[in-house]
Amino acid sequence: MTINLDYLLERKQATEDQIVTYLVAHFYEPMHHLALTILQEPLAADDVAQETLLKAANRIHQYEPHSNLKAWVYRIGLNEARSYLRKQKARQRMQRWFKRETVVDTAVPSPETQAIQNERDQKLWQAVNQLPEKHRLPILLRYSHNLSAPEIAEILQLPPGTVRSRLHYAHRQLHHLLTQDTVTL
Amino acid sequence: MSTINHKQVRAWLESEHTLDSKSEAALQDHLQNCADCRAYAEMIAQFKEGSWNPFPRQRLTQAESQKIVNQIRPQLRRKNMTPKTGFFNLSSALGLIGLVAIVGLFALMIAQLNQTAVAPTSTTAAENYVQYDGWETGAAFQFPDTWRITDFEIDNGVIVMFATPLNETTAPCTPFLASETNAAAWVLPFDPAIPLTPVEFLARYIEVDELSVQEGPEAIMVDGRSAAYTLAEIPCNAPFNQMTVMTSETETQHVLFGLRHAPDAAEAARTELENMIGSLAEVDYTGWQLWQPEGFLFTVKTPQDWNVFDTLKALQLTTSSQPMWSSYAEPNPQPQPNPVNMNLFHNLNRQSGGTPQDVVEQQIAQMEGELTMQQVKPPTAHPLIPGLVTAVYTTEDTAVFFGALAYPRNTVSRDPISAMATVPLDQLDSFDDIFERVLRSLNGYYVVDVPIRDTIRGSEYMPTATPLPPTLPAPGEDTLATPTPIDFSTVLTPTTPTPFPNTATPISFPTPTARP
Repeated sequence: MTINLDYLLERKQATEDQIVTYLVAHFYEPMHHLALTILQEPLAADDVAQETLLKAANRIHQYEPHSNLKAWVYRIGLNEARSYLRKQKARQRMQRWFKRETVVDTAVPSPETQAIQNERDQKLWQAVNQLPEKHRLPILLRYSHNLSAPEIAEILQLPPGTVRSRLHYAHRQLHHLLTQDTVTL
Repeated sequence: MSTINHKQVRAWLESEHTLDSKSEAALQDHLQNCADCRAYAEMIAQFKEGSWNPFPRQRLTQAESQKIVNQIRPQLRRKNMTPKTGFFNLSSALGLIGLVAIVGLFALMIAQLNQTAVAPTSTTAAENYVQYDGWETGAAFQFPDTWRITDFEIDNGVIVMFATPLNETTAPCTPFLASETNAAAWVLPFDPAIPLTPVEFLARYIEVDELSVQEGPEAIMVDGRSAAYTLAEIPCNAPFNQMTVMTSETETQHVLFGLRHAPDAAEAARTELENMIGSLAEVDYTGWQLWQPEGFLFTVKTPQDWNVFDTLKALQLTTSSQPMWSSYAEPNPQPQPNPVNMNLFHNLNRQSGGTPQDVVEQQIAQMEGELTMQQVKPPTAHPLIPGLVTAVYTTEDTAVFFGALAYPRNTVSRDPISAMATVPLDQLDSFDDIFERVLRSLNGYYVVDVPIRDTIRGSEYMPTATPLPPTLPAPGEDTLATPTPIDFSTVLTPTTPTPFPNTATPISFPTPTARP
């Protein structure tokens, strides 16, 4: 049965079980996919998605009912993924000293993953990966998560106009990369 | 012929909205005649198809969903899970008043201070050794006095990097080692899921292609403590192409030391590391609280009876139960008359200079414009901790502390984090150490067995209800009658915050003057 979490939160009637179940049902998949797309490591994506929902549940008292739960959870997820990336960079630096685990090249999907992509898609994916983060993230959120510019703006805590401008600039860069055929596969 | 230009076409293609029929016709007309715009349209269509993203969405079954719920539930902190609404937004208020107002408020509060706090223990180092108190890492140890800490790297644990005398006699071994680094200590909390002895821990982390193991790894004892040793060849120019690596542990952490050297210095290196292992001690954080701010990445430690208020741009660390930087505090008198007040600014945006030294000098110059102060300690770099500068001044009855710490994450270029604190003059000496430790805690991450609290957002802060004064019973009333619980929601009317006037003055910092 679907519950209206905003309604229950507003009336302070939401139980812990309802909150967690709702968050997992509605946000585990998108958070996992967001983390996977950013980190490109399935195991890390599992951890980040779970940590995101745990944080969201623990901080639900900070959420204002009927504002925008989706944007609020996405923002936590994005911060978790970024935080993981930062730790990963520190780990990679440490690996120059002592190896702890296999270094994952985050720019290249696994051969299995590549096999299911056709060449045209691979080119577009590689081009997206060449974008700086400030342009790559709006593209990922727009097209992998079907979010509108105002929603992306709320997640990234930017004015909608800035998001539109970044999306436009990202499109232009990608178009340039694809038509100049500078993408290396 | 098309009447629209390429720019308009691309805007339409990027638009989230459906075009009306007239615009759609014009678009199609343009695309027929413009190969470049057609390619642009195909790219966007390809995006919308979705197959360009090679990572598939994970579809959860009911059972998988339930499994995740079951994994999350035991980790929940049992606290109020219901939301708060409609409170005064301190963070937006702070955005308006800015640093200038904060400095002004500091000056106003200087007359009303009083606090107590916990002082950590210290140990004396052996001859030719320096004692590192382990505040960032959780593990204290001694290191040779010819070494220098160059950096802290925050990971799941903390890595302390050292320059050694080798830095002055031979070239760096980049990229295998960081350019200033010839020794390191890595402190990593135990993972309960993977219990490892020191030798197992060592064996696990020296399996690196670049390392060629010459001796060990072998389990050894150092001063009655379990440890492990190995000697490896590293990809550096001969003769400084060896590294001695040793591990040991405290009660809660693995500690790994590595030291680069030439083959003829292997024995000396082992002795140095054994001395370091022999001096290992767990840091006692009793009396300290770890906080996780919302607005930036680093945890901060404070004495346990403090509160940390968070505006996403700055943190206020105070013994007061309510934030002290807005008029919102006024309706509810401070429960403690002279609270300690320390502010950490982590979003300076080049307002105060690029180095910790610059930042502290700017702070002092700014405060000197507001107050008459006497110098107790000029801006001084910490003797052990890189990137930490502090200064102390006094007024007639107050000690004013200034400080700055290089941004803890060295993979990003950000301004130093600055700090200012005021305490009563009689706490001048005791607060010096606390001030430094709060700043230094930003370079730490993991503290075993110390629960983390979320900082208090301005928007969440609710004044504590002032207890109602006792009332005398009416004549004839039974003086032993059971008191009726007071429903504060009906007694206290909500406080209406005074809105901040939208008249923020642009910040104008004076040009720093050179100090003799």
